[in-house]
Amino acid sequence: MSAFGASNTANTPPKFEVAQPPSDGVSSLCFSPKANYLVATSWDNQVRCWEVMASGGNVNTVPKASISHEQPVLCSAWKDDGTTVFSGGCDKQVKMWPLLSGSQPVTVAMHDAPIKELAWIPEMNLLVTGSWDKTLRYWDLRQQNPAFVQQLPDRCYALTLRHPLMVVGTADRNLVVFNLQNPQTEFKRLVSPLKYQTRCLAAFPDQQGFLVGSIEGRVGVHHIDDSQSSKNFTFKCHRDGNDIYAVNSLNFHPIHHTFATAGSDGAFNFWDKDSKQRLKAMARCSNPIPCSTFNNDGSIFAYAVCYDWSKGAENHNPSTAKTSIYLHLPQEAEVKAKPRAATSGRK
Amino acid sequence: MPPRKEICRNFQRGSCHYGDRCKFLHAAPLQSKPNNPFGFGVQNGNSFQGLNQQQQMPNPFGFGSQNNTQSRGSSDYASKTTQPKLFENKWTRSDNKQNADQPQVADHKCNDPELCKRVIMDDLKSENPQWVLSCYGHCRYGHCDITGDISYEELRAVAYDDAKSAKSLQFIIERERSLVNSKIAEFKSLEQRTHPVSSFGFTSSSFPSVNISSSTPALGFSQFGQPQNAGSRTATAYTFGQPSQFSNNQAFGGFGSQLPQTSVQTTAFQFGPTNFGNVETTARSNAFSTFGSPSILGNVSNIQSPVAAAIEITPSISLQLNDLTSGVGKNVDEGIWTKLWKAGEVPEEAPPDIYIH
Repeated sequence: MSAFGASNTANTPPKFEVAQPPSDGVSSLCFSPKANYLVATSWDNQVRCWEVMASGGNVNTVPKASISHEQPVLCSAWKDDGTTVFSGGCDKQVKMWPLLSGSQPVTVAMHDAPIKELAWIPEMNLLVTGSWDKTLRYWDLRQQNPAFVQQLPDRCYALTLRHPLMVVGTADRNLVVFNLQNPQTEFKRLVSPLKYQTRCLAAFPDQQGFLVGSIEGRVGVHHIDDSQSSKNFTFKCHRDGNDIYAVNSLNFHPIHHTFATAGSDGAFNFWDKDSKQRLKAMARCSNPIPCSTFNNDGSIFAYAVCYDWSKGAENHNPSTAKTSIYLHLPQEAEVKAKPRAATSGRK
Repeated sequence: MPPRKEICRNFQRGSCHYGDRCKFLHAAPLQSKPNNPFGFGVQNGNSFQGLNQQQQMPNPFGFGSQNNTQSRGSSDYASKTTQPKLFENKWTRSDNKQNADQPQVADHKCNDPELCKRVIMDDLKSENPQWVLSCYGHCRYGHCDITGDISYEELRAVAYDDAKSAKSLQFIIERERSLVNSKIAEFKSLEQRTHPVSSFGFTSSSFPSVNISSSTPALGFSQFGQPQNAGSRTATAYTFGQPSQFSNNQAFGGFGSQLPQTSVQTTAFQFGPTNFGNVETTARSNAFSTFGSPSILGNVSNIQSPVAAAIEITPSISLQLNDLTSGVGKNVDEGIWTKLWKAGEVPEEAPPDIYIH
């Protein structure tokens, strides 16, 4: 793995495990934009919140609260003020949970099929949800009916949002780009640069483009503007000999704008797309990593290690399955963009 | 400020933000290619109308491998262009300005079936992702050759639903396995389809069947729908991986075949007592609901699911690889195997054994 020129070979830094992890697989993780509160949604129908306290090199997690849904929960998002959490899943509903105030959750959105992705748009004060019913719906929380329903070419598999850029990935490799200043029309629709099923998306922090990850152990870097299309490329990752694993999660570091990929091989890596190198390869875990996220300042990288169904029901053994959420404190060398030139500090 | 001796790597890549202010040397790309051990190829993802920029960098790690097909096929392109000269080339792609609902034109134009075949063969040999239930498109930015995506979460959600309705783990595993088998068969049929011309003069363009593959997930899911009425429901043509099997069915009239194109529609995923998989399938008159392996048939008959899924299947002919629209869905007269073919008459299925010399 070090053949890719990563500065260190994969080693095992201290991993901090989150206390009282979910009892079944984790489907999404998100940190509050304002504080170190971590929310995890799980296949055990629960949405859990922990407070993460990182001081010095040490990390402590304290379970804070949780709510339940009727069915597995697939996605979550925080409101921009850090007071409320949205969660949606197989029960086809989104619950709004004002957890900082301790209030009870309220259902604010509904679809005809499980809700796979959701995001809060502070600039519009709307919640957008993507579902397997092939629609994207925008919700004003005060109203029962969606503000707008956007038809998608197929079931929603991935969604990423950096206002005003929003990209939705659907089944059969469709990618739909929206300009949220004009949300009622598709800005662009394209087919994925990757050859297999789209698994995850991440919009560039500068909104110039997005990353797309697929099940074939490949990530595509795509720029929206055609004039920058020469900078588009794809690269392979999360492969082990002939084994090709899916890339489950793509996350940009909020400060350095490098990004992390996490895959079904149980590894996560940090990359710099501008210098096109891998910054750090982390040692593989024994189970796949279905989801991961950075906290608001990039000092904590949380990732879940649990079975992601990448090998079907056969390999799911509930009695022995272990679900963990780990917290990694990235060192600067791992996540800081590295110029390829000899001198450093240009960027 | 005079540039230092060192070459600006960003400029080589066409991404130097400093421009004239840059303190590194902006040499012409031809002189010094960036030392690129990772082989990140700077490739254009989109097609250029009439402009071809292949950069096939020697690429041990496969970084940035793009436009493989065209580079392979035409080496003169590789010598023509190297790095994009960002400040010199005006890639005005105004002719590519598209409406929102038009997909981007693919790099690989699929006008050379040989090239397409090679790409597909290479992919199917070398790239075998662990997750089988996926669509596939050999063309970057191009449409899928095989549709019918099922994601991890979808499969898992269905399994959890099944488990809740007290289905055994064995049942769930069997169901998933049959899905996987059908998908594998689809890929195999795509592979066979791209093989050089068969003895019957079928060219690849005469097989729109590749898109039938989209039927399989529905087929699989129909197992816990209500597949009892196999005759009415399974009017989906299945894969053509095993021609002999089809010839048998043809002889027996097929499993629920002889159906006129029923306009049936798979709707979106609904967990609960409704339909599954918005998979479009092509119903064909000689439609065979045979599955890749007889065991699946066995499964179908055994399944008694409380979920009443009336799976409806659209006979939409999603011809994604070619624009062939003729000759589909007609009842094939046996005499067709013995007479001279005219355009549009080429049957989709392989002929029965008796006609094979």
